[in-house]
Amino acid sequence: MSLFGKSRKKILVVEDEPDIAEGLDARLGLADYDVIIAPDGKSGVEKARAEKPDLVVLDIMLPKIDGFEVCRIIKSEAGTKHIPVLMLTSLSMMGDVERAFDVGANDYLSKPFTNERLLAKVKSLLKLE
Amino acid sequence: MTKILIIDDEPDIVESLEVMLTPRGYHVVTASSGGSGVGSAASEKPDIILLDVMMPGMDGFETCRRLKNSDETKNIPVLLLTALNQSDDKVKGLDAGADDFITKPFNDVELRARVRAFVRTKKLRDDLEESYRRLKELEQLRDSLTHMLVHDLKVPLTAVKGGVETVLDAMNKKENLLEPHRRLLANAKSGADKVLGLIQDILDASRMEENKLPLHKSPVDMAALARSCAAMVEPLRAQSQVALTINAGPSLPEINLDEALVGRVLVNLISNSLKFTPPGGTITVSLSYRPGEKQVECAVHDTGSGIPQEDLEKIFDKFFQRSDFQATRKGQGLGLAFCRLAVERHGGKIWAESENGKGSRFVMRFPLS
Repeated sequence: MSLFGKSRKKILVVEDEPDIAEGLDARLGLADYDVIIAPDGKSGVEKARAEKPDLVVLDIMLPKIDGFEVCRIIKSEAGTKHIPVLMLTSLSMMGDVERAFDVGANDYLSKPFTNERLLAKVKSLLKLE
Repeated sequence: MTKILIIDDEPDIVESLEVMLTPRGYHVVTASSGGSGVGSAASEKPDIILLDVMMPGMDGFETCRRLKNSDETKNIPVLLLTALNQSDDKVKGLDAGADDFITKPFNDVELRARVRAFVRTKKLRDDLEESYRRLKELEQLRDSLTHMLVHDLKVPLTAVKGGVETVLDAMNKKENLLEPHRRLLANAKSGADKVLGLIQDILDASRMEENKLPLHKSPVDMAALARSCAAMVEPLRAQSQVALTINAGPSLPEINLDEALVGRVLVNLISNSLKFTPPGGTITVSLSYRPGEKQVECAVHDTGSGIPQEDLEKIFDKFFQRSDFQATRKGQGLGLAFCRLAVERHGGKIWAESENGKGSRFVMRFPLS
């Protein structure tokens, strides 16, 4: 907590495509969030543990460890299980949504998404915490 | 040469058949029992089988059933050898899968005509199967093309759409445009460039395959070209946190090339290396002259993850996807296929070398004249 009310919320974005990561960074940054980027699943897990973000935005197709596994790990560890996870799914992969919830994701957003939907989901998940 | 397998236990009959067929240019192989005949059919892959009905042990009907039940031999026509007037043999034989029968004593003209007819039919069938197989291959190629396009176009387009949308929103709401808005637009522009580049690669690759892409050759200083390519990939390089150095050997002669095309090849190779080299790594572009072969060599060496040996040649195939990337559903694009076509259009060569864990090295050589 800062003197001026609540501190800025910290969002960890786990995304390997630089174009998408950069876009999310800028869009969430404009909405006054602190953004940390992890370019693969392994560093995603490490940063979730070390940085204790308020929210994880998690892509599914990731090198090293995929998004489902990252989510499963985050949700299985005492230090990180409370962190809400928003999975980025692909419209063409119908089974992904079920799998996302199976591994403990709190919500999903199918790509491509509008700015409004992204920010609405982020906001509601941050209240949930 | 047409190969005929004769399965018959009576040496006299086998011999008389051989006498009719061998001088006419047929290659005859024989088996003296049903069991050994089934084995020979699989190993010899004859074009046609002449099969006796009356044999001790496995008779002709059972032999025929086995031949027709095996994927290896089921397409080989089987002509049953039966005695005259044994019509129930003929029915039983056809029911066992035989294609036709011929009655003893054999008329050599009729025998050869039958053989010719079945060889013709078999060839038609084989051709049909071959074109079906090729169609299947093309279908698979089309599927991987679709897959590649969907992925490789979607990611940069998502960046374009998201960036433009956000900035447009802000402008509609009369908000001040801030630094992140500029970054979003820059990101959108680089996404649009990628989509355009991919489309250009696809168009050029097919035009090059049809030999329709004209080369605009002029004397080129490869070191200068490498430097301008390095400048083009600078934003990507900075983002990847990889060092890029150019080593130009002394007395590098100018060389007649299509500068724009070779420049795109080099940008392709460097971008590729950037993609597969972790932060902190190095990419080196080395240029040298090989006086013995009168060739200019341009090699791009990275400290990335390297390429599996079995994939070194295949990565230049159109639509090839490295097995180790299939899990991430990542498209590889046309990049390297395009590079090979472009280098070969110049009479040059391109290949990849990699030692496990020591990165990979892409080498191009262009003839001086």
